[in-house]
Amino acid sequence: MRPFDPPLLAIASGALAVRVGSTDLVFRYLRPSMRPWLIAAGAVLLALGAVALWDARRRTRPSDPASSRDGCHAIDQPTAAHEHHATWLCWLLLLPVVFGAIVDPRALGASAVAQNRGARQAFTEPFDLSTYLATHASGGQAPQLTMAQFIGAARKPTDRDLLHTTDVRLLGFVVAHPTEPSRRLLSRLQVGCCAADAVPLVIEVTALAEQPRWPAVDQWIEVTARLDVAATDRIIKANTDRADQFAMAAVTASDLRLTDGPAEPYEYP
Amino acid sequence: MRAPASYTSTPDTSTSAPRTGNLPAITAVVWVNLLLVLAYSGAFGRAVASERVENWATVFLSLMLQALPFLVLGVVVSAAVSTLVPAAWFERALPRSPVLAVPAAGAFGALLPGCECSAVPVAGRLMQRGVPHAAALTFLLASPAINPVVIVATSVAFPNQPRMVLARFVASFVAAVVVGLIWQRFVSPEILTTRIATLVEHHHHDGDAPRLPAFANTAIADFTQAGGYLVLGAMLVATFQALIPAATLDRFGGEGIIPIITLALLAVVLSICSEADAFVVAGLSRFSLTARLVFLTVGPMVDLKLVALQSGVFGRRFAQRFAPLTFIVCVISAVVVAQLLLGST
Repeated sequence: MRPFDPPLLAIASGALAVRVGSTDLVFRYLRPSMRPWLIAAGAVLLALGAVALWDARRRTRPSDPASSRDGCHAIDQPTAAHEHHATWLCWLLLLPVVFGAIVDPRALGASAVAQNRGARQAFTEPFDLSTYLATHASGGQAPQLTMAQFIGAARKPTDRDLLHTTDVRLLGFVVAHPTEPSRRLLSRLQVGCCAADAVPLVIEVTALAEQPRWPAVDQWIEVTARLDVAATDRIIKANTDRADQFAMAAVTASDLRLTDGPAEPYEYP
Repeated sequence: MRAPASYTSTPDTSTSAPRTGNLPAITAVVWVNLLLVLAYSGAFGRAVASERVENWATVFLSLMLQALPFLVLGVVVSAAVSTLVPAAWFERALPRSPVLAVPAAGAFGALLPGCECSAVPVAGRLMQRGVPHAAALTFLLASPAINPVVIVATSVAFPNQPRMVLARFVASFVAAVVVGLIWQRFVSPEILTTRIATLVEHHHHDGDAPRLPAFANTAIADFTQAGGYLVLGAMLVATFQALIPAATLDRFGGEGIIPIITLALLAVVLSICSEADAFVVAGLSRFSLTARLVFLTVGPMVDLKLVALQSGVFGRRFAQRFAPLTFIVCVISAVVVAQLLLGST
């Protein structure tokens, strides 16, 4: 048994999948619906690795009467079958385990927004805004919209008046504008399958009541806000002229609360 | 026996210490440490402060963890197929006429899930048992490109573009059949016959009685082989994303011929398993749908990993002809199908 024997690599990968899948770590990387599949794949790898290890152990003891027939078989195949197929590359399978432990990366945040701005289009699903707002207002609190819902509705002529006259809550983190540091931007990443396909959703806060200080980059905040129609129109026009604009809509905020990041850091289309 | 050099008996040079007596102890030490690292991950604090490195690691791990369930499903099903279905069955199932056998083999490829690495040795064994070369090659191309696992992965990765799934299926199937027919018509069978005769031992155990250990060993062999290359691909993609800002990629993205060529070459270089490539390409939304379809069509049929495998099993002379032919046919097929089904250029 060598350190990089395939059954051991399968067990390491399986252990990583089960460990990540069984905790909130999984939300840093994948959309929540992938979670059961990740755990199942990890369990299968652990089981396959255990069977292969048991088999390799049995082959190395040909004197054992219980496996004498397979002992002959083992002579036909002088080494355990899996040892034929290992390429030098297979040890790379340990890298995800090692990086996961040593780097222990956080979910993508403001720096990823800066990296990905402009080129990718976020997906906004059509929905009935007035019904949503009527059914989601609870206990005097303004209804919460996802960033994608807000941006989608802000571009729909029939929904704009409603967004302009109704308070909604938006959850996101603070990002810095690349060229104009005075502009206040709220952002969240939209993830289709895994964090590798993250698309930024950015909303500019043009006016802020009763809260003089804008928090530091990457701080999670919840703002209570209304659509700033004129600023949104300027943004939409600028975006059609240049692809790498940052924000997709603009709001005026009446309240700002610092929060911890949610367990699921991304929005999912 | 001549061992196919690329995937057999490449010893772990890093670990094949002459004093094999110490190996179990070394293995134990390595693995105890690894398990400790795994158990206490997160407890070390962040050793790397750079946000760029952190984002790189997040993207890299995301790609790996996203691909893992699909890769595992693929190797489990392909291990079941190669340990439970005798290769003679394929021979009986194919029409006698080679011209009919080629599309039929392509259709079988669509029904049998498996990743690239299992399709190569299975195709070799099919040829050895008298299946026409062209049919076996079409099976080799079609199987990893259009099987159900890949179809499901593609539809998950493109939730808003259901036509992408159909376009990928059609473009890949057409490309596989056309390559098979061109091979049948224009290439001398002698390129493969001498090589096939030497192909004695291979990847799978389809002569054995069905056994759980054979199943597990085959699945794990496929997993580690594909997994190593998947790690390489995920690292390259993460690096690509971390180093190149969106604005630079825009220069190659968009519409037209440049993004098509860019993604076709990227598919070859990245060598991502067909069960995971749709997720990678879904994120490249700055490229036209046509360019992304080209990526999805080329990737499972021509990539660095496959060409290496094919040179090992079928010989370098074969790979030198087969890979460029397949590459060109794939690009043309994908562009034409995109025009017809995706309505973009």
